[in-house]
This record gives sequence, C-alpha cells and structure tokens, in this order.
Amino acid sequence: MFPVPGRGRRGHPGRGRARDVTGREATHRARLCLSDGPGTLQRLAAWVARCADRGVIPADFVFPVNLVLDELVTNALTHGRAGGGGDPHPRIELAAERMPGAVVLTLCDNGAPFDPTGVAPPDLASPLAGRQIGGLGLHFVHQFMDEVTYRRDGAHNRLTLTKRVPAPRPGA
Amino acid sequence: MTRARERELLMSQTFQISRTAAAEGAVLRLAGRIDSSNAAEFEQEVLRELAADPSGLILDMAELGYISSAGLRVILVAARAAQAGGQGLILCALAPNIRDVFDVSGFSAILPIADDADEARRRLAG
Repeated sequence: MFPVPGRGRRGHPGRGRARDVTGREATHRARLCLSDGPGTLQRLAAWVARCADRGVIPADFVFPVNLVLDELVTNALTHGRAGGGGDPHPRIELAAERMPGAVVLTLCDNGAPFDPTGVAPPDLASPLAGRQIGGLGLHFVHQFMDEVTYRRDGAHNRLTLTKRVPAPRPGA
Repeated sequence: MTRARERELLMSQTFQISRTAAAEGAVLRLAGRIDSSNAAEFEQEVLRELAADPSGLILDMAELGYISSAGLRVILVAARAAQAGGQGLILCALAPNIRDVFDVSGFSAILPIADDADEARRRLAG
C-alpha cells in the first residue's frame, strides 16, 4: 500500500498501470491475497480499514467496500470449488485503486467459472414467509457499486468494481 | 450516533452476544461484526432464545458495527421462527450503515424496527 509515483521505477511512465477512462493514473493502490481459513474475513476487514487510513478509499466507503468484498470473497471461498473447473485451493487476489473521481476494486480468483453479473436479482417484494434467503450478497454488490464487470481469464475469474467518489462540495 | 462511534463499531473485529431478561421478553444485545465466519453462532443463540422464551425477543443492535448477508439470513430465519411460534421479534437501535443494509435488502419493509430498546419494549408489550 503506497502512493504511486509519477513515473515508473525503471523510467517507463505508466507502463502496466491501471488508468481510468480519461487515461489518468491511480494515485494510491493496495493489494491483498486471501485463501480459505480462519481469520480470512477479519484480514479483509482490517485491510479495508487500512485502505481508508492511507487514502486509497474515502472513509465513508469502508462499510460498503467491506460488505461487497466480504460477499464476493465468501462466495468464492464457499462455491469456488463446486461445479468443476476450480482449483481445490481457492485463492483470491484483491486490489483497490484510487482514481480521480472513483475507487476501482478488482478481484481475481482461481475458482470455477462464475459470472456474478449474470445472476437475477432477488425478489425483494415478497412477504416474510416467502422471502428467498439467497442472492442478497450479489444484490449488495450491485447496489453499493456503480459498475460491475466480469471476465473469465484462463483459470481465473476477474471482477472489476467501480464506485464513484462524489466531488467535494465547495467549502466542505 | 457520531461518525467516530460508528467507525469504532465498524473496526471491532469480534462478535459478541449478551442476554438480558425483561418482562416483555428477552433482549439479545449484538456487538461487533456478524459475517459468514460467525453467523452460525448467532443463529444458534437466537434460535435457542426463541425456543426458551415464548413471549418475544428484542435484537438490540446499538453496538453492532457490521452485518453481511450471512447475518441477514439468520435474522430472516429467526423472524420466521418467531412468526411460526406466535412470538414477537423486534430489532432496534440500528446504526446508519446497518440501516442501509436493511433498507437495500428490503428487510426494513418486512421486519419491525424500533429506534431504541425502550421503544422496542413498548411495542413488544403492546
């Protein structure tokens, strides 16, 4: 977790760096690698808090970013081995990048192919007795993020989430 | 609730549950974080409480900083168990972030939510 310098260390400005649509570079970024086991979600929560402390995400993004990553990590660790095609030792690499005007989160896991953007939203109008229990986690992902993009890349699922950062109000 | 207090709750890394008995029904105070790593423990406690106390149950969330869909699933299971048993179940004192999750999931529309424990007790008694 570190501020990204203006030029690459070997004199290749911007090579391999994430850019937003306007071509601007990330100003801060952080990474985390998670595998299955006790304490995984605690590590995630601590990492999200550090992201805020170091300016990668705004302070008021801690809750929604933690929630969305928790849901996706929990899904990947729980279901990633099901259905074939997934590695028996699930691993998830997370990255958070602060762009001008947005936070971009990326998740890369070695689980079975799973496109969360293709899942129908849960029925939120049914009464208590008929309420479906599943599907809420992915609903949160779509509600708390502005853009969700999925790509299957060889043996990996790659998910990119964007959450816009509102411009500071003058005088705020 | 101040932002500092909300952040303090969110940063708490553990889940704690404590019980107090009241004339109107038991109160379970939830503290810290509820996620998929401890939702089973929460489920066990809340179902045991409903089985033991026929009158009703208040889930006091004043000290709860975080809840994921795994925790919401338990609340749904508990609400259905309470409904089946003719028991009252009321949630109270949700922090703004927690309230957001209940609103986005549609749970606010199907579960009784009180501002604080006093209001929850009055509603359970009435």
